Amino acid sequence: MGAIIVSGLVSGALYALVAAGLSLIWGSLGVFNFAHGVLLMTGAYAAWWISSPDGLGLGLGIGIVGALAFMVVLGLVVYLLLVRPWIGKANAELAVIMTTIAGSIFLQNLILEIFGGRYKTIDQVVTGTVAIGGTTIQAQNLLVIILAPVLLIAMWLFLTRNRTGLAIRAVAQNQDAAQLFGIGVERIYIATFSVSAVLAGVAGILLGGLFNISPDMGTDPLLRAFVVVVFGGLGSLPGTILGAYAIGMIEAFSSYYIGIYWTPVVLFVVLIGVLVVRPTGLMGRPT
Amino acid sequence: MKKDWTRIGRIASIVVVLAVAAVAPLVLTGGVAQNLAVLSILYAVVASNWDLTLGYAGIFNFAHVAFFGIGSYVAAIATLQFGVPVWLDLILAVVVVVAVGGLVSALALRLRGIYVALVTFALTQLCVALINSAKDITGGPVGLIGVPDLEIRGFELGSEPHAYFYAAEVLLILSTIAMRWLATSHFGLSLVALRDYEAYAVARGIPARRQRVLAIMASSIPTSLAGCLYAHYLIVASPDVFSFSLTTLLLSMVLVGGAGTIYGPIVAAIVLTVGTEGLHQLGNIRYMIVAVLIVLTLRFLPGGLWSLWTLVPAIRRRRATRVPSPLAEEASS
Amino acid sequence: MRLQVEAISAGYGRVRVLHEISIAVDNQRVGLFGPNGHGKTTLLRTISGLIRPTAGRVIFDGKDITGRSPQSIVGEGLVHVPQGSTLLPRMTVLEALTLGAYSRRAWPRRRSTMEQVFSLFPRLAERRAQRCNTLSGGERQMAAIGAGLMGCPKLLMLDEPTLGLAPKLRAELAQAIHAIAATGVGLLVIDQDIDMLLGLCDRLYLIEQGRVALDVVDRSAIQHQDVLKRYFGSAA
Ligand SMILES: Nc1ncnc2c1ncn2[C@@H]1O[C@H](COP(=O)(O)OP(=O)(O)OP(=O)(O)O)[C@@H](O)[C@H]1O
Ligand SMILES: [Mg+2]
Repeated sequence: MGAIIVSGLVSGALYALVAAGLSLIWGSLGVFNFAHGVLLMTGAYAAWWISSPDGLGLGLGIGIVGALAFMVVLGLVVYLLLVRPWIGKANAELAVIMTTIAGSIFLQNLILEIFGGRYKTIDQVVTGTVAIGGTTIQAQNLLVIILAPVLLIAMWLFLTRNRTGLAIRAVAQNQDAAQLFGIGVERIYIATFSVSAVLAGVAGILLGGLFNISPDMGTDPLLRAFVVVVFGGLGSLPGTILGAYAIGMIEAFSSYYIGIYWTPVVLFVVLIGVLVVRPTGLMGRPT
Repeated sequence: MKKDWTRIGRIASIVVVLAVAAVAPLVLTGGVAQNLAVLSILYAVVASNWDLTLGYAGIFNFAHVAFFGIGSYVAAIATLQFGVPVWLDLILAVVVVVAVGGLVSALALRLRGIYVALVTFALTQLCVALINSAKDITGGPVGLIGVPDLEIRGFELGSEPHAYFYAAEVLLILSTIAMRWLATSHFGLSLVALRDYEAYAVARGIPARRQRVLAIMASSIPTSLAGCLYAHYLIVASPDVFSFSLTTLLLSMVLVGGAGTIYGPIVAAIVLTVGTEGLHQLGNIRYMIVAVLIVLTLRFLPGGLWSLWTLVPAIRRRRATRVPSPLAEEASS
Repeated sequence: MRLQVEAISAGYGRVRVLHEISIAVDNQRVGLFGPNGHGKTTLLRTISGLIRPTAGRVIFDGKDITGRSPQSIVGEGLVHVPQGSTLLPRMTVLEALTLGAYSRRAWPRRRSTMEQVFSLFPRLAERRAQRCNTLSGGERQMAAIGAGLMGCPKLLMLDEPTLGLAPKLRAELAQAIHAIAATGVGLLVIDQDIDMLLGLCDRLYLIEQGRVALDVVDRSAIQHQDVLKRYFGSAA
């Protein structure tokens, strides 16, 4: 039982980090970033390459900092090349789905070309196990369980207290008013993409410490994040986070009691159930 | 006078297309070339069908490739596991796919925009999950091998080198006629009206969800047949048909070819299938090239390859007079 | 503080709304009025940089600000409070006011400005934790004007601040606007309430079909303009 809850919390935490980034971009730009999973993967590779003796060998600390800095830049590049040209155009929604899918194909194959398809491992940030109330937990799992909420709270504070964070929300809610406050919409879009990419990078590094890293490691988390954002409602951060933990828990319990292969089926059935009752997700707003 | 020329042009292009269709299987006899041709024709069917719902109706339906995959699995499972006679499995596939398509779209279309994309994407994932969990029937991740040859009254298509090629061509031609007819019919115009001016179209009494569900069901028919043919031709049904990369490839055919044209995706299907295969010594780099191509097309040629054709002034003039605004049509009726 | 709008033409797409219109605000309070849909809002949107004019110049404090971005114009101290402001529906009053001080000029001073705003609109202080979309119409106007003031304007442009308000609230708001003017902030106010404008402004422009149809400089003259009364008999 304890192990199931731990596994649910770990998945929920990772999904929350991934889905929060998607939700943030949707909320402020009204587009959906299908390259988000690949950003996660790229973050893990960047950390690996900087830290591992097979790469630069600079150690995990520098690896993480360097990877996150790289994510800021990558977020900017994705925005400039794949999103910005279509913002404000009539078919932006579909076009950006396509361009970000194209971007993810590009990056994934690029990584495959550079690093090959063999699995790689990132060092765990913390090693060993911890026993809590009779359940033994891998320290890295515990780190994920604690770190994700801390980061999400930090993000919440950023969005409600910080000048740029407030501006991100303002642009999402009323672009004209935001401009009249002196907010440069373009800068805010870039900031949004960078924050979102950093969240994906953090998720990638944490995931890389738990499992192996490979060029397609972002696909499953992204697909789960789809379910999460539909479940919780896009553009609502509390909804997204709640949805992420709900999905993580459902997944953990269903894997244990019903079987790992049937879990996606269970998730889909739950999703359809939610949509029949509430077409905008649990917390989403009608658009 | 001008009208005659248009007419002659149309007849000429039909003759050319039929002639090419008749001759191509006789020319492309090498194993690789033939294989590539059959695949590109089947992809052309799927991409052009998808165009009806994505391009004309503007529905973010990402389950279309799943229709293709389900078609191939129904054929394989029916013939291999249940001994259903070959040919009957085609009908079965159409029935199953249309039913699934109708049910899923009726549910998904309660939502809007991006949510439709996400739910239909999830459906594709569900298919993979079902295949993995019901190993005994589906063969799991390996798939099903040994799908029997298609048979018409004792004639096995595999016994004659051109037969599958011709069968695929017949499917493509019939499917294209059907899609063009649907797209330009009153029904098709109502789809376009819903896409472009939903509030107004609904106010004029067009039932939005019903029309869209019907469009998805109609578009899934030739696609499911293409799936069957695919399984019979390749002798296997593999879960790869539900992969993200196949969805992406087909989607790029629709968009690079030109959404909302039916013909464009067909051209792009052939160009992209042959192109990526021709560049196969480049390995993964060819996918990167396709990715760049997609972005460049969306950026600089949003109407796709087919819009190059309409840049010819004479055709543009003809279009302007022939295709009235869908709403003008509605309003006058 | 001096704003000069010189022969501005602007519009939406191919539709031209403003036709070589010129106005000036010179350390004063200026009112704009006129029938609906004749370009008053469009004029303010052009001044504040939301719309690029096709011809003409906007000069503020001697600087040519034509075609500059809204953010750089706000940075100069020229602040526009939009019409029928829904402001930021899912933000609290406090957050919206804080954002009002987004510009570099205003940000360091935001705490003291906020106190001034709260003393001007005590109601906002009570409602600071409430979401903007749950505010009443009057409170929403106050929040919008308050957020405008947070930008430390030299010239504040208000688009129909009394729109849709009951007479009592209107009077209250008019009083607040007077108080703002008394602090030395320049005002450019659009309103349909001619009496309010008469009580407030040194100069009035009647805007018709994207042009200045009447420029009334002398306030005593305004009172006797029954032309105006007639306009508002039909247009208001
Ligand atoms: N975003 C827009 N796109 C196209 N036309 C617009 C847009 N906004 C306003 N217009 C048109 O521009 C003209 C002027 O509108 P504007 O809002 O400036 O008038 P106004 O004088 O402020 O009217 P009111 O007193 O009703 O607020 C109107 O004909 C209006 O329909
Ligand atoms: Mg107005």
